[in-house]
Amino acid sequence: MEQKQKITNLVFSVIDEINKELSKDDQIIKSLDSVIYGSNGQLDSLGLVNFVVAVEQKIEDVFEKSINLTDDKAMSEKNSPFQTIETFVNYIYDVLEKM
Amino acid sequence: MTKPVILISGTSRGIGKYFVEYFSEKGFIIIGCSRKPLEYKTNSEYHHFCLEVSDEKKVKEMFLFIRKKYGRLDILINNAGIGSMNHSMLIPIKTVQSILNTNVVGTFLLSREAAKLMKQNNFGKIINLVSVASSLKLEGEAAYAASKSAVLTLTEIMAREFAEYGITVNAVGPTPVKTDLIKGVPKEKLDRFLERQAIPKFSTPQDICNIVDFFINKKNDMITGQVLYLGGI
Repeated sequence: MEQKQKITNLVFSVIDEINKELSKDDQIIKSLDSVIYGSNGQLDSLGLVNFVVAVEQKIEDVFEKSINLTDDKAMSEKNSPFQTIETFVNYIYDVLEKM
Repeated sequence: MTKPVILISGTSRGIGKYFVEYFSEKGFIIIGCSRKPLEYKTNSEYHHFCLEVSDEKKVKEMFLFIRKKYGRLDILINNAGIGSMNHSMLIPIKTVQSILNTNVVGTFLLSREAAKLMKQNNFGKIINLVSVASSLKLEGEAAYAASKSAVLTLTEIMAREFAEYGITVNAVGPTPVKTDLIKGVPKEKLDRFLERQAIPKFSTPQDICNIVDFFINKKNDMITGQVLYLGGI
């Protein structure tokens, strides 16, 4: 399976887990263009922390290596790699490529 | 009853070694780390990692091991620390960087990774070691005292950031303890430091353990962001 698709599926599986805890109105939409964080984002800063940490741990489980998804621009409104599902997947892909 | 899982940094000697002995007696599962391998035997389930606490890659690998093996971490004691008793005008910058790396970066890194693991169970106790050197503004300890002031600030801010996840972050501030850290300090200088305390005595490792016991007590889940000094500072 193509690496990016594998990462996307993994992120979606984490969203499934998180959605179980959220009300019907707050569900995160599983789509590459879903805005996660920033203006019109579906997560507040704490929600973002929970989401990123859950994805980090899921990647460690699936890829069996430790990964570090910290970024100085994490909380940036404009340049956060966690803005949309797509930017997040691309970011994870880049991190894994550099390892 | 499930055995608590505790991570202690700086376990090869000094207070860290005492922590290992103390929590072994209590039957805790202990994960320890230090730059050097252990040269003593432990009585309980103990896993040792040789690493620099500021080495992000190695630290993350250690946490991956803890998560895979135990699925949780109940307590972290950020004990690893180095110091240098020297006048500010005579201390090499490399030494300052080394102190900041171990004392500040190491504490930050271990706390960050511990919180990620602790939040899964909505429970965790992080204990940092600070020092009376900061509050007494001890001359000759500028770099060490500054690093411990930073650890105190980390304690106070992380306490707020992690409270959401049922994690408390507190600090214990011992008076000088007779370990390698102060072995090069002249006796007269130590005596002068002790005179500034309400109780002019060295702390013992057991004094520190008593405070740690207080902070990790599950009943004390309303106590966070606090520092408890020994000796009446």
